[in-house]
Amino acid sequence: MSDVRVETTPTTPPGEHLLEVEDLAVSFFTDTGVVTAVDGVSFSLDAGRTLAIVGESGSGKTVSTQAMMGLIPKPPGKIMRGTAKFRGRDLLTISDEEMRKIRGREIAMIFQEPLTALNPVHRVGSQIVEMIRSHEEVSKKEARQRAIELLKTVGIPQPDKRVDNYPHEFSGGMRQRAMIAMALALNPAILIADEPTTALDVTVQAQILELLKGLQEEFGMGLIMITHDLGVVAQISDEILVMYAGRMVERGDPEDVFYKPQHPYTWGLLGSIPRVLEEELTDERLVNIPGMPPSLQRVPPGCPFHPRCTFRFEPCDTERPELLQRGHHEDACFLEQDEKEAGRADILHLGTKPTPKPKSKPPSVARKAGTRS
Amino acid sequence: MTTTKTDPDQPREPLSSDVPDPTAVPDGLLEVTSLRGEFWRRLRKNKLAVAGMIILGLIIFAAVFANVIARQPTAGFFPSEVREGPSWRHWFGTDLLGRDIFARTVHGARFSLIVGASVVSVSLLIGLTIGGLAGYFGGWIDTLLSRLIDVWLGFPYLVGALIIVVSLGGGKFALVAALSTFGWVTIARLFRGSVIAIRDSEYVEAARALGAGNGRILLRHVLPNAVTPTLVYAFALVGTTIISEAALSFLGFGVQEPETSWGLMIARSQSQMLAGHAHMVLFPSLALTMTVLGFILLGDGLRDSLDPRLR
Amino acid sequence: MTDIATTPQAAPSRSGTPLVEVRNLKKYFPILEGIVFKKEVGRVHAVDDVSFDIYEGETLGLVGETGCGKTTTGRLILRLLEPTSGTIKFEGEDISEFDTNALRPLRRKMQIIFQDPFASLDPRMTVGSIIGEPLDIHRLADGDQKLRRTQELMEMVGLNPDRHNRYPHEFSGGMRQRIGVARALAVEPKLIVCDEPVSALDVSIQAQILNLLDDLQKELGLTYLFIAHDLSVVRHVSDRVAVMYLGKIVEIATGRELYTDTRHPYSGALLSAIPKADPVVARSTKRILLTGDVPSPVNPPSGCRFHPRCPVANERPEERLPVCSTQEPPLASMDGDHVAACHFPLPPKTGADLSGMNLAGGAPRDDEVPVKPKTARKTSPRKTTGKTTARKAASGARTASRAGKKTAAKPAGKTTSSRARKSPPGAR
Repeated sequence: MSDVRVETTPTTPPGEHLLEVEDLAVSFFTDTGVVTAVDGVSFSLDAGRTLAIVGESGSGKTVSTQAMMGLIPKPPGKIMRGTAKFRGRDLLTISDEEMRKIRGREIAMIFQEPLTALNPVHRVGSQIVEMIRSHEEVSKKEARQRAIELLKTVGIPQPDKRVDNYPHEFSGGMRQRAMIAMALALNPAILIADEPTTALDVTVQAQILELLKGLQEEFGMGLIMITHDLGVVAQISDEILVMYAGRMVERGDPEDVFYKPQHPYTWGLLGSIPRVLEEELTDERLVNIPGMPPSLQRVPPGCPFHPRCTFRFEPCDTERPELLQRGHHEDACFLEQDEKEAGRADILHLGTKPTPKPKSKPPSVARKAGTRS
Repeated sequence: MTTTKTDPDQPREPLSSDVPDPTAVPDGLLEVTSLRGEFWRRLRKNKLAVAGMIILGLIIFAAVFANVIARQPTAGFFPSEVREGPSWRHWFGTDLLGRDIFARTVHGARFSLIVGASVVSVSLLIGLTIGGLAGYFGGWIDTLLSRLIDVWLGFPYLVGALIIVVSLGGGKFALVAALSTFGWVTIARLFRGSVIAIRDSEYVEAARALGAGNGRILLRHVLPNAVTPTLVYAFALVGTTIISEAALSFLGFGVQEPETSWGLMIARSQSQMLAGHAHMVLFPSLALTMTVLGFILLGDGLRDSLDPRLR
Repeated sequence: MTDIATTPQAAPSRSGTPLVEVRNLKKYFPILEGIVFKKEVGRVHAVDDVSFDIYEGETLGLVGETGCGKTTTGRLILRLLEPTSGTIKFEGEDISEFDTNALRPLRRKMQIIFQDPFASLDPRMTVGSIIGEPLDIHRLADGDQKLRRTQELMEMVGLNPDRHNRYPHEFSGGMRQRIGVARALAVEPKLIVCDEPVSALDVSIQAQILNLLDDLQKELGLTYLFIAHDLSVVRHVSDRVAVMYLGKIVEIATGRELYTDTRHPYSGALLSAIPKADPVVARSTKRILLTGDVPSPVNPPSGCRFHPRCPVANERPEERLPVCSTQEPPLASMDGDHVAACHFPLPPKTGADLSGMNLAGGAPRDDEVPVKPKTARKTSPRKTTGKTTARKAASGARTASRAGKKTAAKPAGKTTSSRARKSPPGAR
């Protein structure tokens, strides 16, 4: 890709992460009450690395990154506290003007629905061109050339012809690629992908994930992948942050989180996934996390997960657990280490340690009678 | 010490709130207030709508309690009290025949509301049926009925109503019939549109999958869901009907004396305006304006608070 | 290789007639153009000659991506759509041509659970009335009895029976789905078509609903046709799985066979594409990457529909493509009941990781075609719902492939169902 980069961007001060978010909290003040969307989220990202933020609806994963990018409508939203330092500068305190310069150029976002980024009444090529030219001083011709190159990089065949198509003339997967092309147009340092493959067929999803990974390597970007799909997470992440009800629940490497998860919610999440791999094919019922995620207007006191947690005990409904560090692997749960291992073993049948007596009655997963082939 | 709230061995345990834990997650019930509660809340916040409600409240009150509020006779001839201005005995003064204008105005409210309500009821009946059939069945039925509606819309409203009133010989029923004849058209159009939007909904498909016939689907699923925008319009239609009635009566084609129609009152009194007896025109005009304004304000307010997109 | 496309499927392990028999089922939606007089300019081949059986008590999974026709197939079996041709037999009776009246008693025997828990419930009806409606329609209970039965059903699906006066919007997604299940159960059906019942739900809620469906099946002896695009979910719940591609069935096998003994390259690609929730496996598995997107069902490729994207065909193009691009492979027996439609099926006992195979996909195919949008209108008669099916199907496809281009025309419309979006039946 022709890389005429106007060198006005600051570089990261040495010793700092490319992106560092600390204790970010966002609330929405609506007529019906205060919605605590995010309540203390911290994470960091370095160039070339992929952070996956995992959670279900209402976990706060999207709001966190949107807040960072200044995309939260200020009434009714409000950033309650926290910092989000990009290359040393706190994105939450800079002016709108400066944010606009960063958005798209240094930090780009792609979404679940490509049509949110691609204007259906303009040709794809001209949208990319416009984007390039709004941030850099290049000629139309040159920008168009770059656009064609980009389309080629993201794997769209016949890019010189497709550059003049409208978004609706692309299929879903192609549109997603076009959106990625647009996001990459200015060689951003960070790409935030919010559920980019959820709406795609699984075979197309595989292609897009490969593409993202490849592009990341090629351009050395930092990638934040927001998703609820643990399979996607397993495939491409270097670090995983699990969120629940606006809070961090567990954080660690993929090996840690998938093979030695520490938090009961993570166990439930992993256990809810139907497995397709043969070795796991037993007649197990899926792990059932009872109840529903809480309303963000009435997050339970103490640990937000406690009403649904089979392991809860005394402190869980009064004290708020913070991420406790255990090396690089952290979780926010009061259970003791041996209890965690016991619980994990029971719910997920992982690990081989003998189970010492846990404080709470371990749940047993009911076995289905009969065989499923 | 420890409480396990739910036992995963019980797959079908009602996820209910029977557990005494105060922080227990509600059993799948969301924090949402009822649709109705939400609706009232938004309505109350809309200042104009509230104003409309107050005005209409007054008018309706007057109409309902007309006999209590206004004791003075509305008909008859009282030569000694002719053309009096507002006073303690006659709050709004008297008209050409010495009748108490306040009493006539108040009874006029009743009259207008009755006419408005009747017309809109009949229009709804016709309009919902035609629009519903057209929208639901589509095809040639729709084509036929839609063309019918288009043709009908081509008729000038007042002139058409006028002709009908005259041919029916005048009087209250003729008036209602005439105004209804033209009132149903927009209702049909609106409703048809809503029905078309709803008929492809998944819950309609679900009803069909259950074995429901068209009648049941139309009445129990389509109608309740599609009728809202039409009802809002119908509301405003009451207001415009009242004006139309007043216009017709003003022109002399509506009701005749001694009916207490505001339009009639204005008609009979307009010559008196310049003669210094403006009160005879003023009060019925004010009443008319306020009433219609009330309907419009409330109609707008209703539409805004029912519109889910404005959340 | 026996051609069982036209002969009843041999079923040595089962006794008696299958509950549902589908033979040569086709459903085409016309694409119409024109302002005043519409003429047909093309058709969406949503379901194109499909045959299979469903046995009582089993769960048959129907899986595939956009445009494969799985949702349309489900609707056809329920006779919510009228087939263009072919036969559907329920309990041995041919219902393909039944009219509304003849169908009504059938509605007691087969029911459906929809994907979208928000759209499939009438927002103005209380939960109790929603569940009780089938009782009214078929006159199964009334008054007190009806209420009791309704509450019984609510309990059965894990809802608090006191909540029968609430409205759907007061419940969360998972709960609303339970309401849908209760409604389907009210008539005590034998067959329930589950149309992507968990796709719109969060993963942890999915698990609840899947467990519920499983329990109900055991308790009530239900038969399920489980339609989904997520192969892991389908695998988990189904006894047998049928994989569909572009209106055709490409493979039918038990869950285990499908995984350990994959025969059709598309099934293999599908399995390989699923992101596995296991970092080591996910990163080490060699994945079969198909090129391009799922083609449009308006103008499907000739011969085997999968041939333009098929890694096996394109691995030895001179030898295989001539066959694959001209002759449609019949659904033939690979091993007993395990059938697949492929001229060059994968060798036996190929695990789904396909690591033993050298199946490098062909060069990215250059067959994206700029398209013009077309409008589509349904023409199916009122009594069976064509409704958005055709309209969305065709607008989703939105392709009129240029005459002369035989290879797959790429669709230009939206392709898939997302978690929260309802996908048009015909476009799957």
